[in-house]
Amino acid sequence: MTDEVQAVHPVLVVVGHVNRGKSSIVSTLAADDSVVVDDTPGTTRVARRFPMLVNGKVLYELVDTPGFERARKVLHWLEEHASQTADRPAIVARFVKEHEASGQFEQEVRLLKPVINGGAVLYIVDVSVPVDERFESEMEILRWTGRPRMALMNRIGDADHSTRWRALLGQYFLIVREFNAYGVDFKACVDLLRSMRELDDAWRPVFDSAILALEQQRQDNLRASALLIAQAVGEMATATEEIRLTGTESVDEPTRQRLWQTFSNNLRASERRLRKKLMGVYGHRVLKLSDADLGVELNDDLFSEGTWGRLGLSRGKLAAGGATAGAITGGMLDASVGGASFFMGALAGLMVGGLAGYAGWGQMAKTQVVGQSLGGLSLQVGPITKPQFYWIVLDRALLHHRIVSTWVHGRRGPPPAVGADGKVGVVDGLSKDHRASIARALRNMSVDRFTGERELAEVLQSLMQNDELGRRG
Amino acid sequence: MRDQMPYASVPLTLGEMIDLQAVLERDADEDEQDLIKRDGDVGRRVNAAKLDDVSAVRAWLAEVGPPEATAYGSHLERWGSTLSWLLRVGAFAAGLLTVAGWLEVQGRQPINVINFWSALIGTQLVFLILLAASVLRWRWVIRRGMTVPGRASRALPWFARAIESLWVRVAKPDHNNGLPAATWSKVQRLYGELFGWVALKSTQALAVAYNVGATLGLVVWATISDPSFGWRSTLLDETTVHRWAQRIALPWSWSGWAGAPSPEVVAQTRYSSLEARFVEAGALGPEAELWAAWWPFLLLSLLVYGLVPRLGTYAWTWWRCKLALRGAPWRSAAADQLLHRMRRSSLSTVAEARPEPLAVDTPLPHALADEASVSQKPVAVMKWSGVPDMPPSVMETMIRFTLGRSIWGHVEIVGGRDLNADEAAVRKASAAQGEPDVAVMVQGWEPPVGDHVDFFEQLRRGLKAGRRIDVLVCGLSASDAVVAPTDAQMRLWRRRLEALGDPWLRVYPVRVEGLP
Repeated sequence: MTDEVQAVHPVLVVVGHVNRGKSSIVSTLAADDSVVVDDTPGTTRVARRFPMLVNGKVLYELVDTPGFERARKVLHWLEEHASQTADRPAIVARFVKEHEASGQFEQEVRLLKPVINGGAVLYIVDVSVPVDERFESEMEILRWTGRPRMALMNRIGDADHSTRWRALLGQYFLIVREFNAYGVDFKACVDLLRSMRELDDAWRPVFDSAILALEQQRQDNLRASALLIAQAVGEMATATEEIRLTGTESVDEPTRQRLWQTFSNNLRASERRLRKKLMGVYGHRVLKLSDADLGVELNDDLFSEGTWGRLGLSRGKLAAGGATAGAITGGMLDASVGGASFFMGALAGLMVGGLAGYAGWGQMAKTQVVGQSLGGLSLQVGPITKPQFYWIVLDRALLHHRIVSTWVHGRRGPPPAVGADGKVGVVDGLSKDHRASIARALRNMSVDRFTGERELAEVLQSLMQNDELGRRG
Repeated sequence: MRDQMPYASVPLTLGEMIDLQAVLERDADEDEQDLIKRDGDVGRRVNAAKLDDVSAVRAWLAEVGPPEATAYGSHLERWGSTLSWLLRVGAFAAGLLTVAGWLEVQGRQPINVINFWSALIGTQLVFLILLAASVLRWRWVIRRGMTVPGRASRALPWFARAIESLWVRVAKPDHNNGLPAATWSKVQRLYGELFGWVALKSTQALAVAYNVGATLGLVVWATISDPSFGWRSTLLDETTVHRWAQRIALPWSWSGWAGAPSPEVVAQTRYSSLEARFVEAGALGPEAELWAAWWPFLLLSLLVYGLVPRLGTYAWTWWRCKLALRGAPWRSAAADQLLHRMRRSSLSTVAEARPEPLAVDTPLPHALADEASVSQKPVAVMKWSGVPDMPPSVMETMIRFTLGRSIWGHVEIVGGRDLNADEAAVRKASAAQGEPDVAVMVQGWEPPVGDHVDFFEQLRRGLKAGRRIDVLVCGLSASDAVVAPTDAQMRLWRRRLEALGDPWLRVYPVRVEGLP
């Protein structure tokens, strides 16, 4: 895959000015966030190659170039040496050959060499800045190469000069597309690959394969994420923490608090680990989502009342749930005595259930003294018995997954805040069937963790696929 | 297909499951992309897509399983197996030597059959009854979790640590960090029951070996020696002993080969420790066959009540082990994740090589730092093509705000497509009367490129040393008006132009405060 040998696979040479979304597009298409981080304007001096390898075979290759340095002079040289229009590609090749050894026009040689060796041009412009003559020189040079060319109109700033740009680009490029490098999603990337098929008929099967491979990878990532989330929930559902008790000491409140603190910290660590893993699945290795980027639903503490409330499980709701359950139980007692109790059973059940629900807010797990197999006693906390906890964990994990899976590699800045569409949690919008399946898997998890985990993974995968399809329309 | 699945029908062993669990625990903190790459590579090497799950995991363990120093499951299995075999040999020797010793050192009196039978067979029957009771899982008989396998399962971490400690002493590895207690605890929860059955199977194998040894001892010593058997008891009479012998011999008496000794034999082989005739040499001569009549009864008792039941319990525990092994929970979500990583198609789009990290926060060179212009002379202004046009009055005000100077002559446009225009502008500035300094307005929103560098070098050549070139970096507002550049834009321009090494070139942000 050197410049010397004409590539047998499609090569897309990405040309554009720095800070105009070029690296973001390369980063997004290559799923490599290091491009954006390493991108210090004016300091990139090498053309980086991004081969898309599927099972070891290169399907296509992106070449990220540092851009033109002396476009006006190059064009001047070309115009001086060309006599006929048909000779232009040959003149560009001659330019590269003559200046390759001399070191003059180093950047232009690096940029043009893969193009004259059979590459296509992907020219990126920012339509929020006005057109100037420098761009025209660059476009003219690219036209001289005679290779397939595609222009992507990216809009970074607030101003919009797209009309003028479109008119200009249309004169130089076969295909002109709008592509918001900082706001694209997976579908937009696939659409971009689809349009690249138009550059050269011979490349169609290759890009079709690339699209298929990307779709497959997307499915693989969903499966991996579902398994990771299920695994984390399983880990939490069976987590315990204990400390050995010496002698006949009585268990005081500070000891219980300390044990709960350690236990809850371990659960928080499990959630953090899951988030890191999910980032890894989608290849976000260099750019990290800070807690602040995640929005309040995910940034808040796992055990905070606020988190539970925002995700639909406020103290009031728990009390209401308890009251309803109590009233139903009491009502059954009333029914069994033919109403002779004047519905006192339902009333008492309502009050007791409501109070229990309200008071039980903070009681996540039982703390108890247990005997050890080799003698002695220990104080043990966990696992968490409140089923709502696992729904909260799941909701936060699914929200996080939604962010990570849609946060393309070229994106700069925080992802769109969750809940922006008015729906805070994912669980809230689940179908009845999905809810029942998840509840069943969670129940099974307490009996047989591994079986429960695998059941949950299946449901989550189906959920994520639906979520993805929903978002992709 | 068979060639590709060499272990397809063999479930994972306890050791492999422990090792798998340990490695999955270790991987919990690893970067997922690294795991995808590692396991994907292994998957392709072993052709995991065509292997069944067990074979794929086994192949994976062989490729990236724990290193020898930390393969705790394998150590546990290997050393446990060795220990078990050693104990079996020991039990065989114990059975053989117990019987042989007893028969050899019988002294001057016959061997008391009641003692011999009770010690060798009766105790085993008691143990068998205890075993049967202990494995019952009915709550009304025995509390759940208190069965032998249940109890034994709790010893797994202890046993594993003992094996680990033994291995460290013998193999003396370079490093042995040991599995965290939490992992052992998890392993115990997952595989404790299986371990319990494995331990129980080992004890039954041990009992079989003991009975084989004892049986062999009885046969061999009866062949090479002439042990004599009788009985003595203060409380039991001949009738009772015969009745018990008949009951004991029920399982094999139907065969007709050797039932219980006859009442006559029972009566005649009774002796007393005080009988003088045993003290006198040769007293047993004429009755030797009579005294040996108990031997077949004892041999068959040993076979029927010792060896055969133990073979049965061994077969039963072997079957339970097999069941427990097949049902052992290794298919966690983490294991599924591993299999998925091994089988997913490999897709890589990242750069083959990453560039060297760049020093992005290089401090600004002192020579190019902002400083107030001291000269009050007018300045010749050039505007780079692409910097928005503006009314002359605005331009004048902007230059005055930024440099504190007025504009000399007309504003020249440079940086356009026509290179001759640049040359003309430079010539004009060079020949200007009064040799004014030159200010060049550039687009800060675009990074400086070679064209800029070439132009400033050309300008310096035209102006000669001493005349200042002030580069005014402009920003761009959303409405395409010139505004002050950002810090990042200034940094970029200053860094690039510093490389020119021109001591009379300064880079300033354009100032627009107070402009209409």
